Amino acid sequence: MHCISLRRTGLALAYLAVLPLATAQDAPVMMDAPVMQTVVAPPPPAASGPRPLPPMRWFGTVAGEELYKLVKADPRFTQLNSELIGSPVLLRVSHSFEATSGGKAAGLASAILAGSTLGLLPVVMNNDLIINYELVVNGTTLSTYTYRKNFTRSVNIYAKDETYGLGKEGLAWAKSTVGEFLNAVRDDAKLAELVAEYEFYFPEKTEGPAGPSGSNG
Amino acid sequence: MLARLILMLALASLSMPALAASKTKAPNPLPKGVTLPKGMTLPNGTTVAAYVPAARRKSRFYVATGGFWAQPGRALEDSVTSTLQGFFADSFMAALDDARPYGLLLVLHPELKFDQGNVTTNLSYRVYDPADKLVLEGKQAGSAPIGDLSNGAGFYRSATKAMQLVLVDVIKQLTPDATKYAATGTLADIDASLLVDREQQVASGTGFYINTDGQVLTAAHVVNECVVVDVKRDGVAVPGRVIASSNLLDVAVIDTGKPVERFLPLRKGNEIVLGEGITNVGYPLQKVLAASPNLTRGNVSSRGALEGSVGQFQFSAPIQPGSSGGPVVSDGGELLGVTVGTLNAAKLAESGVLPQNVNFALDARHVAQFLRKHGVPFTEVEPNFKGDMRTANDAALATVLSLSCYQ
Repeated sequence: MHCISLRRTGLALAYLAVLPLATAQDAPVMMDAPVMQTVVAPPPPAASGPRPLPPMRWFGTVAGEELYKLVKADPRFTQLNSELIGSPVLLRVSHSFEATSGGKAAGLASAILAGSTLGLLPVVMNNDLIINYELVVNGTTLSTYTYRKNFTRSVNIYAKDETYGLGKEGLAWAKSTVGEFLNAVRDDAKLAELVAEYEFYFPEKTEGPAGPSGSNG
Repeated sequence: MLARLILMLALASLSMPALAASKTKAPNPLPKGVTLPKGMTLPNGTTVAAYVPAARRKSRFYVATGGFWAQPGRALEDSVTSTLQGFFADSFMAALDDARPYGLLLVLHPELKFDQGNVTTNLSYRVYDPADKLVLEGKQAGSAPIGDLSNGAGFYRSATKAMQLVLVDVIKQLTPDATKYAATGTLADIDASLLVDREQQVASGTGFYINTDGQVLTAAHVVNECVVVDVKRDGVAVPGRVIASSNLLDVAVIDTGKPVERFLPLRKGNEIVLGEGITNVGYPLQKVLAASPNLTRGNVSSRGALEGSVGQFQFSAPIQPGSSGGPVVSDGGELLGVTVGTLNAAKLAESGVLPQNVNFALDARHVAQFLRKHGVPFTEVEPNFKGDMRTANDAALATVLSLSCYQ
């Protein structure tokens, strides 16, 4: 089953459900911030530049639209669009925090301390931030790229958080994973197969010869 | 602010038991109060392979409020692997095509139940020797507080408790050793039907004959990752084998190996007339509705489907879960498309919109391309615009089948 959020004319959310009793795979995704250096370059001439991938839906759980903008700025992902709710191809970017045993104990003590001072002291947390990039085709995962880094964050409940709960370092690192993903996906053999299949069935939907390879611009 | 402080303290206190439940703690090979027969020590020297269905291993859901994936499947896999290691040093989680030899094969079918803050893992198990002989079967359960969903501690602990009891059964009942059960079996050679649980369908759907060879067209998501596919018609089930599949188009072909007389031809030219009448037949809501085909009528309501979709059209004949893979048939008796999806009315209703019969099918043009690409024979006929619903209904009903997927 797929659950796809749809936004049209401000109407709100709609969902596409595929019928059989298959397991639900779709989930929310965050969008986050720009970071990589290669993505902003102007698109090179069609004949020699990186070839755009087929239209793809974006679904992100992290950091607003920042990661979305970064990925979309890559010449291969120009057809990435969060509104393509019916697209068979989906790029799902999600994040999670995984506690380390030491970090959890320290975080607990810190939370108690912060609570006992009515929030004057910040809560200090240590955990792994995990960013997951998944290429999904009609509910089936094609490829997954996972990035993980340990961060210590200090959270003051009175301060406004503009880092989407990731912390400054976490947000910067999350953005930096876009470049790693774009590099890794260039050599993705499964994606290359998918692109070839897409061109076979829907040549009119691809802008010239598409493919996962090509420089990062 | 006070509310946030209270929330913070509450969260802190809630996470205390989760700390104790951390899965980083090394598992004790034996549950409390359980002893082994005299002379038996752990780890045992038998090579043991464990099989867990893919759907269970991959089970996960996203907790949007917490910003994390809850992964009961991963917790289960970790638990099975580590508990096995405690009992059998030479053990591994086996994939379907795994060529590594085993002395005992442990087939596990887990089921999770939630009740009052606890999660219970019910583990049905069967144990085969290298000659595929069933040597032991049973069921065990383990419960634990759900705890911290983000690290899956509750899932892990409940699965570990159940798994420990399963392995105690294996040790006590079979008293295995590397000589008694020499590692000569492989999963790649086993009869796949020995692995599946016939009581738990992973998916169900619909298909229809596409040629006289008895090959069946359906939606790929009905048969993805099935270990066994049962193809049923008139109460008779035959095993099917997936011979071609495209996740991109969401279409697949199953070979039954049984020739048939009736099949659905495609309309030559694959023209779809907006508004033309269609028949849809399927086997929705299996185990709820009677096991007879459901026939609904409607029309082609749009040549396009959802924004961004490719190769699909929209039709209005009502469908239900389990209709996927069913044929959309013209009044001339030609195949116009394969049912692949619908708008989720319940979700739309939450936002104040109630869609009516917005359903989607892969069009026959792409079906034809797919069949040609994979060398699957099919027939095209000239459009018959003089037919009526009796022609459509007869063509659909004579060719449709129900599909059950097992892992």
